[in-house]
Amino acid sequence: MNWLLPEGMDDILPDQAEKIEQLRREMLDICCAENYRLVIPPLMEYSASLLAGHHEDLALSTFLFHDHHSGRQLGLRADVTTQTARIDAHRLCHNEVNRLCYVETVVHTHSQTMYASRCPIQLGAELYGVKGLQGDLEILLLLVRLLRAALSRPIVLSLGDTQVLETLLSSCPLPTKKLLIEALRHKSPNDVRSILSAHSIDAAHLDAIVTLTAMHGDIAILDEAHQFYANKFPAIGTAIDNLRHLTHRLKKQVPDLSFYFDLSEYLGYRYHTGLVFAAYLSGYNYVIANGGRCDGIGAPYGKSRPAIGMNTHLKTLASLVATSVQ
Amino acid sequence: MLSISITKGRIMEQCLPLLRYLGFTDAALKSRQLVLRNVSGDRQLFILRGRDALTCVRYGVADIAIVGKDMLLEYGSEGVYELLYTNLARCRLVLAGIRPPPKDSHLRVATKYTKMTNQYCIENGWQAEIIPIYGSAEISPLIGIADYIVDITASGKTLQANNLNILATIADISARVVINAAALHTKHQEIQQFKGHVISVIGSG
Repeated sequence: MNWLLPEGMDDILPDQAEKIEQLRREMLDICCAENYRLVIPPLMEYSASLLAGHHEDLALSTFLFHDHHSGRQLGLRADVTTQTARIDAHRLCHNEVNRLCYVETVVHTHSQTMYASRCPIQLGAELYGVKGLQGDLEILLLLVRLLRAALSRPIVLSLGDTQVLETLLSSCPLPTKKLLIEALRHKSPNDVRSILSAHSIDAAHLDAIVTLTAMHGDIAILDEAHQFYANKFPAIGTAIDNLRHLTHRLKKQVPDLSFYFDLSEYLGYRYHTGLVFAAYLSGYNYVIANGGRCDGIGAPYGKSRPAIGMNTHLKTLASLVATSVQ
Repeated sequence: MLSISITKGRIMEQCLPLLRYLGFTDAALKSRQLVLRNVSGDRQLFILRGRDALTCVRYGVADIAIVGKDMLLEYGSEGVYELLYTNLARCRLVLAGIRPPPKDSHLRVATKYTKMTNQYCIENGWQAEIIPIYGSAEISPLIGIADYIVDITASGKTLQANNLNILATIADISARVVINAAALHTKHQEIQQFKGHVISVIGSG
């Protein structure tokens, strides 16, 4: 049975391949029309470069092996974002703003979600050099346009900001925050309380962190969170204000888009530094696209500047197109 | 349509008032069917073993699951949120044996909770061989498969009847209402309504 594929690896047969190719062309055309230029980074590179910035989750997802030619360790990319950050810092460093897009196969050591392929085809766009609301809005509008071109079902856009969690955790005297972040990720107030109770944290601060597990919902949750946090934690107040402005602008341009707000969300590979977002499809219980602001992701390559990006997986989208047709 | 997977046995028995409130008839609940629809047709119920109920919600087949915390600790809660902590099906995950483990010995521990047992032994610095057993773990020390067991117990009577003593509590367990992470975003209102029903009928912890 040597011909069987490893778990999580899959062949794409003609029917599906044609759908993927059609999506790839349509979506790349949209990216190009918005001035995003295609880049094709290599499948593997030195792990020191691929994993620069110590992104623990990314390292766990990356296949590593020894290169007999150079004697150095190589990595098979699990994500393209750090590769585009390297390109922005060194190969296209003369540009004031870089708009880059890509369609590449990435390889994961383990499936990232249930049913997920370990070799998804990632389509993404990265915007370097545009800070704040302007960049956030540009990427989110591009994301919505791409998804609407591919799928006819209603999209729910979930927005959050890593600054909320960062602010609360920065003054929290825990030797390791991994367990706490996991408990917050699962929105489990009892687990969060039990982890924090084992340490000397004042009651108000403990309450502020535990309450974060309930800070998700429709737009009204932003007012509730602002009232609860803004006085004691001005940085959280600012993050919430930014989310309000962004939503207002998005609603103006895409009036029928549905929103959800999740202030304890910590998505992706944890290199995000502000806005994080995920897109969901009505009737489908998985994330179909995500991304966020990752300012300074180019710092390990010598160029720290504003950055924001998004990505989606073409195999997933193609299977959803098939479902819609059925 | 909201899909709910529920753990058969003690958790389901204690959730019967909630299920009736949600519109599942006694006739349906007493039948041997494992997939049920409520009267208004807006909710369906999958009756499963704990691990399978969790798998359903992790894979997005069910939006909500009512499972024991032991399932979440043992099999992970990737892709799900813990919506509610309840006081239903309260019990403890314990280490039991005839006598306390001697220092520096190599323990043989029988359990179906292999991940949690391994983690507990590592935390205590015990060299241990974990023996997976999926039936009545209490029998293991009596027939010599293992010296100790890790299992859940509510009253401790079965352990006592088999001459086993509770040596340590590893975790307090009760039923949790968990939801698929994506369902929270796409079915927010229905899920909040369901949460309200759970609190009003069976309460939260």
